[in-house]
Amino acid sequence: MTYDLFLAWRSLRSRPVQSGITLLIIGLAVALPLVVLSLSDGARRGIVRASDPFGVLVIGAKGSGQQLVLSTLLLQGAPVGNIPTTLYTELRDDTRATLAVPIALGDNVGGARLVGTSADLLELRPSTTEPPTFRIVQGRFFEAAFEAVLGSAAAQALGLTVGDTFLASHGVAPGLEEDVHDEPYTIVGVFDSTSSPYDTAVFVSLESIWHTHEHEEDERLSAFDYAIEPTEPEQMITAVLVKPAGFIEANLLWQSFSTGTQAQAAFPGQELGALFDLFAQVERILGAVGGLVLVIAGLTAFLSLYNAIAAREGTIALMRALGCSRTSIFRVVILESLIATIAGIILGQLLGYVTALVIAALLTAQSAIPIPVQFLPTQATLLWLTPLLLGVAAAIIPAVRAYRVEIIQKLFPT
Amino acid sequence: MLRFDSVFLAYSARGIESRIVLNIPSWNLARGTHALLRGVSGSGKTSFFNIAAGLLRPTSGEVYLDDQPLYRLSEAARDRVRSAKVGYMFQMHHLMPGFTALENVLMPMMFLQTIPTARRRARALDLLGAVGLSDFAQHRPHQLSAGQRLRVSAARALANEPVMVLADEPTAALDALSSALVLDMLQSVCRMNYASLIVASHDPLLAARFSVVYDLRDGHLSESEIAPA
Ligand SMILES: Nc1ncnc2c1ncn2[C@@H]1O[C@H](COP(=O)(O)OP(=O)(O)OP(=O)(O)O)[C@@H](O)[C@H]1O
Ligand SMILES: [Mg+2]
Repeated sequence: MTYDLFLAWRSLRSRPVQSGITLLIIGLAVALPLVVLSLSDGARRGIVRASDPFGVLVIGAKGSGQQLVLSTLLLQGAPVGNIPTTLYTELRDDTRATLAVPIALGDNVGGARLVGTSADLLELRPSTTEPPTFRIVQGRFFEAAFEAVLGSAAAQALGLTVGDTFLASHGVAPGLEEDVHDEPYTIVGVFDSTSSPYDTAVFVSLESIWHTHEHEEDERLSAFDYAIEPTEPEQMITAVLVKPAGFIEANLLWQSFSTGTQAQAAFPGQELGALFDLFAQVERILGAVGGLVLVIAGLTAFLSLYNAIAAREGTIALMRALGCSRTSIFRVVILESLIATIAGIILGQLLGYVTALVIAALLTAQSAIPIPVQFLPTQATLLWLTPLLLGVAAAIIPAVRAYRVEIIQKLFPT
Repeated sequence: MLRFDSVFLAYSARGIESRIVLNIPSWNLARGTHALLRGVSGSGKTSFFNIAAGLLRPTSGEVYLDDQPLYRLSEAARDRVRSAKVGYMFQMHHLMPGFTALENVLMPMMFLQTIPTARRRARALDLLGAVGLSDFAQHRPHQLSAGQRLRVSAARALANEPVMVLADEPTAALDALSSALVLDMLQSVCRMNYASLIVASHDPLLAARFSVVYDLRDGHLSESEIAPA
């Protein structure tokens, strides 16, 4: 009936505080799982996308394979350790590998990581049919020591461009060590965006990095004639990105490293898969919390409505005396709950997406991994249906109580 | 048009000895009659109205409204009959809280839906105007005086053009002028619709307005010995 909606709406408006609380708690109950689901989905996609442009096997120091992949491909956290450069030269000449790209981490400029590498970097591509991952948009690739190429995000963040110079400092992040190297780098080129954390890096030749550190070694030795703390051995690199010739070769390479003691080989897909399993576990826990919040939201809706009906029995009796049918009274109560629930769901979905976008932006700013927050149709539908059902369920007992109101008892109480 | 047949009412409550409130073997009110119902407090006037309106099932007996046996109908059917035919001004002039005077008058029309939507508002405003409340249509019950609330409830009782109007002490809270205004309106609308009107009141001055006066005493209903002027 047409007036049912009108009466339900007026009744909700007549108790703004309770209706507001119901709406808010339903909103939160919807927003919470939405934030968790869309962020974990976004993080998963983001990490896959960020590690995708390489399509390689990562060779690095023994230790956690996950840390090796995260520190080398996603530039997260400190590198596992160093490996001798000879390992790189061996891999470069290995027939099982079609491409070997050295990566040397350890210095930064204004927070942007310095990546020592070779021109083979330009040969990396997600798959053989796709264009190379790293493309110069301005200037050229470095050709000599102390020439540098900026990632797209690094160029923006540092405010530098081709022709500018900078000094690098020791450590993968600023402030870790006060040590500023004194050879200036000259910027000779800028890369296009790759949608990966490598956009925030500055690329230089391996020789530049080694030269800097040799030079320092000399200075330190001359400044202090007593034994200094063991310094990192020179001519070391952090990792090698290897493109295996095929699946069999990939497996052979992986096996030879897993039996050796010198270094390890890690498949990014496998290591990230293990990470995603962890995600799934967190998701399950937060999912249970979300379910609990939904149940609490349902109970809140029920209590608010039940109290309202109990307090309104006189008014309900009057409506009945004025010609409103029992079934209409029942419908009004159900509708009342539905309106609050629908408003709560809309609020929750908006709140959820906005919160997820904000958190994703913060995480991206922190990790340089783009986290795409997407509309998830299945989850969104589920987060519509579940609260709607709860809303109706919460209204049934109050609606029955309203339905049962006897005019004579409530309108003329004795 | 309103006929009581062997109506007997005794409230029974736990711990209280049941008392006979009404005992009306046979009583009939012709259509168009304007009747005054007198009786001391507690004599059963409100109980009588509730039974006549189909709200209170008597302990035994039947009430016929336009030859329809009210208490043999289903509750829903009885509700519809009341909604369509009876206008009831409650003794406690319950208005719907949170709804304006206008909405209160519109409400019975909204529930019954016999009067076309387009005509309802104008009709409600006319009724409010007739009780001198044109300027108070948008006021909510708590913004109205007791007498104004009572007049809104008079307008509301007439909303669906009832064939029978029951007014339980409609003038108790009113001064002479407002009291006359409300009674004039009730009577003229009832005359226009050829509707029956029963007014319960203690006011001895009112008798002159009515063609018939009933006294309710010890559960018995009798036509007054004192003929109206
Ligand atoms: N729900 C009830 N349960 C028990 N007794 C009731 C109930 N309602 C009314 N009574 C009793 O029935 C008798 C008649 O009550 P009723 O309200 O009909 O009187 P009334 O004539 O309208 O009185 P007043 O002029 O004070 O309004 C009273 O004695 C009252 O105590
Ligand atoms: Mg009474």
